[in-house]
Amino acid sequence: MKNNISKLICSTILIILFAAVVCDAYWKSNKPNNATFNGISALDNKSKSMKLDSHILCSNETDQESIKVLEESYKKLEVSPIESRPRYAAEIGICALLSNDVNLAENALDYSITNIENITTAGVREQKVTSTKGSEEQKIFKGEPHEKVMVYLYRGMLYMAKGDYENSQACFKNAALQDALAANESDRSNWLTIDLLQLVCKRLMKDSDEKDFETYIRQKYSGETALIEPMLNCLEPNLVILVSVGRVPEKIASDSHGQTLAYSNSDSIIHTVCLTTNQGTLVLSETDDLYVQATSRGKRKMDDILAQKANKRKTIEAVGDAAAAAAPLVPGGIALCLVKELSWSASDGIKSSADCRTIRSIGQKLYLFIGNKFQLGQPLKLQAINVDKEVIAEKTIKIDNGSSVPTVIVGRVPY
Amino acid sequence: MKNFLYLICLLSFCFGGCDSKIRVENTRGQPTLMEDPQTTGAVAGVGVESQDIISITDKMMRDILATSAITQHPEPPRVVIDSSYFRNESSSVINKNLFTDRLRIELNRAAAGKMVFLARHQSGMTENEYKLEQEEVVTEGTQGETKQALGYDYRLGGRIASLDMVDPKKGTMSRYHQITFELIERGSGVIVWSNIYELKKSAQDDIIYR
Amino acid sequence: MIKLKGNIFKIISIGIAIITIGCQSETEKERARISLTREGPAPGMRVEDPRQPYAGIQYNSVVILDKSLQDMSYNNKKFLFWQTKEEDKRNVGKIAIESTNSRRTPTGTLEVWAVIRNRTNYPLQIEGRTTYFDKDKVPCEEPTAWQRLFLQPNSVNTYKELSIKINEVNYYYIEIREGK
Repeated sequence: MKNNISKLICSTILIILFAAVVCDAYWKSNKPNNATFNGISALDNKSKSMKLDSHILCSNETDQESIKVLEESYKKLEVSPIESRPRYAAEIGICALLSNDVNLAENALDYSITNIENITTAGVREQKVTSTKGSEEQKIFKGEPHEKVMVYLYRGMLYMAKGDYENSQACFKNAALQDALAANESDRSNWLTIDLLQLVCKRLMKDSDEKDFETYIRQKYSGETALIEPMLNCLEPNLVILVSVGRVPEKIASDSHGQTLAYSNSDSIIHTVCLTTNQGTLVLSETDDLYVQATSRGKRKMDDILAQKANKRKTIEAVGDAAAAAAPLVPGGIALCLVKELSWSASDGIKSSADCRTIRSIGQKLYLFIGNKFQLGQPLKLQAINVDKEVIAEKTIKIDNGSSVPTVIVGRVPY
Repeated sequence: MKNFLYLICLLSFCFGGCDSKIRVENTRGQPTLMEDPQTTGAVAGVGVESQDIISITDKMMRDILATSAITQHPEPPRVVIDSSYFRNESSSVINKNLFTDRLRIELNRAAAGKMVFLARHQSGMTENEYKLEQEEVVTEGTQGETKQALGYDYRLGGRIASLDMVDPKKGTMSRYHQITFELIERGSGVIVWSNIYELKKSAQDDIIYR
Repeated sequence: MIKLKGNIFKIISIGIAIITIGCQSETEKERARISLTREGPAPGMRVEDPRQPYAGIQYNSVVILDKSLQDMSYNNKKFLFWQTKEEDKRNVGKIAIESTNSRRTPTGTLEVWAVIRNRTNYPLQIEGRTTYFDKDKVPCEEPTAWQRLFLQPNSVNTYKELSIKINEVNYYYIEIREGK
C-alpha cells in the first residue's frame, strides 16, 4: 500500500512538472510583441511601396505626413524597451533626414550615436546576456559595424548641409573607425563613400592636408580609378548627392541553433542612378555595397559565446535523445520519453540565437555624386533605372542659386 | 532503475535550469542624477568630455593671467576669444563654443580690468543697433551716442587634433587629443601667448558588443 | 525534564534570537537617548581632537584624499620563525610628497607646486587641485579644476598651479586624489 502511494505521488509530480514545462514553452512562443510605439508600423518596409524619395537638406521642402508620424514616434521613444531605443532612434533619425526634418534627424541620430560611442563595460545586463537564460536581443542595440557607419554617415551629411564642415569631417572619421575592427586588414575602413565625403569636407574647409588625403584615396582605391577620378577632381564642390538603394542586408540566425549571424543579399532591381540636367545626363557612382561590408567584417566575439550555448543545448538534447532511444527497450519506457520532452524543453530555455535586429532604413547600395562648381538654379531630374533601362523611380529637384554652403541631397529607393 | 530515472530527470532540469554565470538580480532603472561636471560621468567614451573642457580652460585661463606680455600693458589690451579661428580637426564631434565661451567668461571675470574682451561672436547685435540709431529708428542709450565697434589687439586661434588607434584583436580603441591655443597680435601676427593640452584615452567595449 | 540532547539546537537558536533582539549596542542607546533630548538641527562641529591632528585644513601644505593612495599593502611572510609581520601601515603610501612651496609670478599671481614621487613599481595617475585663501584664511577664489598628473614607476613629477588673484592670496591648500 505504501509503495503504491509513493509511486502515485511520484507520477503526479512528474506529470505536473511536464505540464508546467510544456505550458511555459507554449506561452513563450505565443507571447505578443510588447513594442509600445505606433510609429514602427510606418517604418515596416512591407507596408507600402515608396517612390524615389529625396530632399535637399535644410531646404523648405519637407514631407509633412512622414514627419508627423516620426515626431509621434520620437515622443514615445522613452517608453520603448531600453535595449532597442538606439535602433528606433536611428530609424527615426534616418527617416526624418529623408523627410528633411533636420532638427528631429539631428536629435534622433545624436541619441543613437551617444549609445554607439558610450563604452559599455560589464554590468548586470551584459552578464545576463552571456548567461544561458539571457539572449543576445537583451543587449543594448549598438548595431553591427556597417549600421554604425551609416548612422555616422547620415549625421555627417546633416552637419555638411548646415555648413559645419569640421564636425561633418569628425563624423566621417568616426564612421571609418567603426569599420576598423574587421578581421582582414584589407577590409578595414574601406568605405569609399566615407573617404570621398571626408575629402569634400577638407576641400570645403580649405584644409592644408587635402592634397595628401587625395593621394591616400588614389592609392587605397587604385583598382577603381575610373570610378573615383571624376570625384577626386572636384576641387570646389558645391553639390553632393547621396542615394541609397535596395533593402538592408537581412540578418539571419543561421546554423543548427541560430548561433551564427549571417546576412541575406536582397539584390536591388536598381542598376543605375542618373542625374539629368540641361547639359546632359550624369551617372552617379556606385561607391559601396552594404552586403559586402557586412559579410567582410569577420567573426564576432558574441558568436563564440552563442556557439558555447549551442553546444550546451546539443548536450542536453543528446541526453534526451539517448533516453528516447532506450524507451522501447526497458520497462517504464514512457518515463524515458518524458525525459526526452523535458530535455528538449530545457534546451529551448537556453537562448542561443543571434540578434537579428537591424536598422531597416539604410538600404543596400550607395550611389554618390559630387558636383564641382555645379551650375545651380536649374531643375535636376534624379532617376533610378533598372537593368532593362526602365525608370523605376524619379524626382525633379529645383536647387536655389547663391547658397554659401554646398547643396546636399539625400535620397532613398527601397527596391 | 527508478533511482536512475529520477536522476536523469533531475539532471535534465539542472542543465536547463541553472545559469552558468552569477545569478543576477532584476535591477531597477535610475532616476535623474546630478553629477559633478569635473569628474567622469556615467556615460563615457574616448572623446572630449566635460571634465576635460573644464580642466583645459581653467589651465589656459590661469596661464594667460600669469603672462606679463598680455596683462601688464599701460592700457588694457582688447582681446577677442571666440571659435571663429579655433578649428576642430579631430575625430571627436565637439561644439567648439564650449571651450571658447568658458575661457572667455572665466578670463573676463578673473582679469579684473587688466584685459578688455570684445564680443565679436555677437557682432550682429551691435551692428544692427548702430544701424538703427543711424537711421533714427531708435534713440541713443543713457551712456551717450552708441560707440563704434572697437578693433582688437589680440585674437584667439587654435586647433583640436586627434590621433586614433584601434586594436582589432582586442577591440580596444584609443584616441589622443592635442588642443592648442594661441593669442595672436593683430596686424603683425606675432604669437604673444600659446599653450598646449594633451589627453589620451583608451577603452574597450564589453565582449558582447565586439 | 526537557530532553537536552534532542533539543539542544532549538535551545541555542532561541537563545541567540533573544540576545540579538534584546541587546542594543552602547552607541545605539546613546544615540537614541540624544535624539530624544535634542530638538532642531544639529550644530556644525569642528573636529579639534588631539588624537586626530590631520582632521582640519593644513594651510600651505599638500594632502592626499584617497585612502588607496595612502595605504599600500605588503605581503610580508615570516622568513624565519622569530621574525614578526609588519602590520603598521601608517608610514606606508603609494606616493611621497618630496617638496611643496609657492612663489610669485612676474604678474603677481601665486604659483604653487608639489613635487611628487611614485613609490610603487607601477604607473600611477593622480589628480590635484588647489584652493587659495586670503590672510583671514577665507577662500578668495574657487578651487582650481582637477589637473591630471602621470607618475611613472619610481619616478617624480610636479604638480603646478597658478592663482587668479594677486594681493588677496596668502595661503594655499593642495589636494591630491587618485585619477579615475
